[in-house]
Amino acid sequence: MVPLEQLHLKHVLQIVSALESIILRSFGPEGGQVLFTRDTGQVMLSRSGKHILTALHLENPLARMVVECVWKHSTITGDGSKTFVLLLASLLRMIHATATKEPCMFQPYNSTEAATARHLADRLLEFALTELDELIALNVLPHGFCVSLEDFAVKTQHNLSFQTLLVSFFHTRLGYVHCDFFCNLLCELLSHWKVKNDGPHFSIQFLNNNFPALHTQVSGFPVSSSHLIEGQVIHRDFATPCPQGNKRPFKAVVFNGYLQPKLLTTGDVLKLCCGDRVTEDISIVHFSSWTERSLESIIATLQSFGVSVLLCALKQSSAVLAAATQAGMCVVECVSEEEISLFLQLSGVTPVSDCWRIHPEHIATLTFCKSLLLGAHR
Amino acid sequence: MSRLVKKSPSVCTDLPLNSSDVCNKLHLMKELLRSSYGPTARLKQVHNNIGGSVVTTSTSSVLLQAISSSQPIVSLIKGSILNHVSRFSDCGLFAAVFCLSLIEQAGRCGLEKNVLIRVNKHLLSLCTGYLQREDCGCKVKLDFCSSQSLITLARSVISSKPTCVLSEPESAHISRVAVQAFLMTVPCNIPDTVRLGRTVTIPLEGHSVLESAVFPGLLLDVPEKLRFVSLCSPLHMALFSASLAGDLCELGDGRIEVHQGVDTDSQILDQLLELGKQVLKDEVKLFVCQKVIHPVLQHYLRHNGVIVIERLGISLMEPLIQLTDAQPVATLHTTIPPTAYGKVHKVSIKQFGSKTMLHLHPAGETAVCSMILCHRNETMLNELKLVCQKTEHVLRLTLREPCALLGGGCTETHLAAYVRHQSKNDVSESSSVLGCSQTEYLLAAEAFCRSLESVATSLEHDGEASLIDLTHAHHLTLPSDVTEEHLEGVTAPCGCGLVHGCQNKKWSYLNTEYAAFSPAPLLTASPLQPTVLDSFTAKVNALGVAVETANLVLDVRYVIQDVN
Repeated sequence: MVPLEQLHLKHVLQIVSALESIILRSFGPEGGQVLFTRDTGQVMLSRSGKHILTALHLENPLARMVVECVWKHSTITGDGSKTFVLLLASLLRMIHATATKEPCMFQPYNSTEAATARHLADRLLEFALTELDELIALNVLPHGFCVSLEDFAVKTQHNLSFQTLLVSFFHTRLGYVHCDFFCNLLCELLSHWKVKNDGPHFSIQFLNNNFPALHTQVSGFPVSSSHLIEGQVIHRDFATPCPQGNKRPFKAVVFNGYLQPKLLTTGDVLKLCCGDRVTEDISIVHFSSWTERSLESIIATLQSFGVSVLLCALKQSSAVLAAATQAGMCVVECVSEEEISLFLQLSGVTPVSDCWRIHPEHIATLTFCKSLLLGAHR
Repeated sequence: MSRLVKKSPSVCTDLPLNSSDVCNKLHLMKELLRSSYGPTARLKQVHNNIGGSVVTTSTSSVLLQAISSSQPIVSLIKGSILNHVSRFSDCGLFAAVFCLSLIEQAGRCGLEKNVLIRVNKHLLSLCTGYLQREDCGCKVKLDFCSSQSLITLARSVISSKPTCVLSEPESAHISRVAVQAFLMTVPCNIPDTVRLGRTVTIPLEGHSVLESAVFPGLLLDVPEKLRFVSLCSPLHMALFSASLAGDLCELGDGRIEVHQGVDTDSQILDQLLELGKQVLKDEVKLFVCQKVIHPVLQHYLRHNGVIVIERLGISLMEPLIQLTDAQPVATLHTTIPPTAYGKVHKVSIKQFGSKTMLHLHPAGETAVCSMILCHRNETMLNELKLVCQKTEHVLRLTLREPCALLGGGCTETHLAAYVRHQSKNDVSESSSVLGCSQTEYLLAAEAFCRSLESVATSLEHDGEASLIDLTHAHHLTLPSDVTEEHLEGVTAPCGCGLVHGCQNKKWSYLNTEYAAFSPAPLLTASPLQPTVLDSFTAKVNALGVAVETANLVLDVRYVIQDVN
């Protein structure tokens, strides 16, 4: 039998106050950070209400429900989760205070209090749905202003611009020391990614979808060393030496599979028989030489197209690397899926899945291709 | 067998820096790291209760990795310092002690955390600005025309690790060897992109340190039976990266059914011998494979006068390719193109105690060299190897920034005096920019300077007293029984060796109040050279990392720990 527990209003208030006390210290521009450690040993710092609340392991189902509401709210709006919890806590407190002031009748204590509280809550909801909009429009909106998305890098005289909004947001998330720097960096990024014909919404959406592939984390340097780099950074080093020649533009091909095909998969059986005088002895050596010859022909096809960069999603064998080095091509292996999809999106080519058929539509042209040293990694 | 355990809720701590538990742990960490700082430091022995090797060290990278704490703030500081050390490989202990002193001083002065964070950042930019200036009093330009300053820098790095137990002539010899190896890896003719070469370190236990040496070219392990025929240039070398042991692993995972009468092993061996015949035809004298070679093939090649080396290992492949310009062959069936052969000028045998090694001399100018490091036992040898790697990294950093900072605590006292003087001068404008009152600004600056000075005082471990020179702001340690009257007669040099004697100068003890003064730069006509130098890039970055980590820790208001 599942244990039942009656929920009194003061218990509800206790639970929400506990949640409130967690995020209270990081609210506002003078707020501090919350440090949390995962069970994997990973340590994270955050001021974002959503991150803090979703990182807690909560036993109480009511608390979990509140955190779920916060999460849903934050997914839609992106900000304001701490405000949500603080408002919720103070509303509950006021309702509780008002409900306990009512004189108690001959009915048991609990039900009157609960009924009054419920009644108050219903009335507040009604107010919020019907009359709050007009109030906001009359009293709050005249104090606000419109922010235009057209020009990201402009700071107008009265400071009513997109940049002010960004600076305050970063102030609450990153603190006083870094907010200006990151605001400038983000505006620069947005202005570089502007597509001429579409509105700014397209570029922001694109950046949002592809952000994991567009940024690199470098450890060991101070924060002010963050900057933008032209082009796409692929987070893998060249497996073979980079081409030193100056021939531009470079041509690249994306491979989804292995260049040197594995002949036998588990389940295949290769039978070697002893031949008689008429037919030749088929030796096992022939099979391995066949794989090598097929690799050679693939490399020859690529050379005929003038391809010099190979981007592969899987790890290639050492024979492939040696053959590519001899032919003067450079290979990048184990490129992650997001980066490949970003590369395909930006260059408009299709990847090669079957090595025997390489056509011009698989070849992309690059303006430059070189290795980059970021921190300790290339 | 795994048990299903219900997940326990997280442990939350409000305002962790106010709790005495956290403060005690941070204090303990600071004392631990303070006692491992500098050339007279106390060594630490790291044991694992379960088992494993026992390590004796005073290096920050090894020590910090061995410290595991359940307190997340300690792991945060530890992670940040380890990142710095992995990037710059020096001044890790300096950064850690400075960071922890800043946090402790912040707790003592009782200012609001936000004000402290802002002032710390402002003072950090002041310090880095001063250090980047041309006329900075604690910066020394490195002269690449003479090796003296490079050797001094290498010697300071090597002597800062007392675990190696090196006597004076030994440390001088090792610093010379390290600088020699570094200079050999810098290529002479400059192609389009300058690529530094590599130093391959070979440790040898049981010999005296003075037998360590550097050789151009590569030293390879050879098997015992080597009929050595004297060979001269130019020698061709074939390099294989595939396995020549007779197993065909690229075929895949499937099953191979062999009928009676078919002998796959002899078929593969025939193919390998074909390869051997081709190699002999091309007059290759040196046959090297990264993996194992079939013994029949080895015997065949040796019988025909070819030096065969197998099991080279992947770490030596890259330097060998750089040395000989060979292209590693990975296929067994195709004919080897003549461009894939490498060239070696000469091959000779070198004997080191009981170890025999083959020395490959390069065909032209090359940037690959091998360093033999000898020491009496394994512990000291491991530490010496670490220290030599650090020295190489520090010397490489000087290629970008050809200057060094004065060591021995003098830079720290100099900076502290400068910050005190500057903060008194621009109190009004700085406090209005940062949004705090003038008293708060002065208190925070005082805390910053005291932290810097405490790093300088942690260099001495034998109960001596630290003093500061009131003209040039250099640091000096004296035995603590020297009284005020004797201060005038002291002629000992300061920490870095540039300032001598007390006759015309005034000195004051480091933890007392002294009037703020602007530290005067030393006269350039001074004939003395500094005897202790620190790496400029590493120290400036360490300063930045320490202040930023301290700011981050001061900013933490709530800790949530997952105890699963």
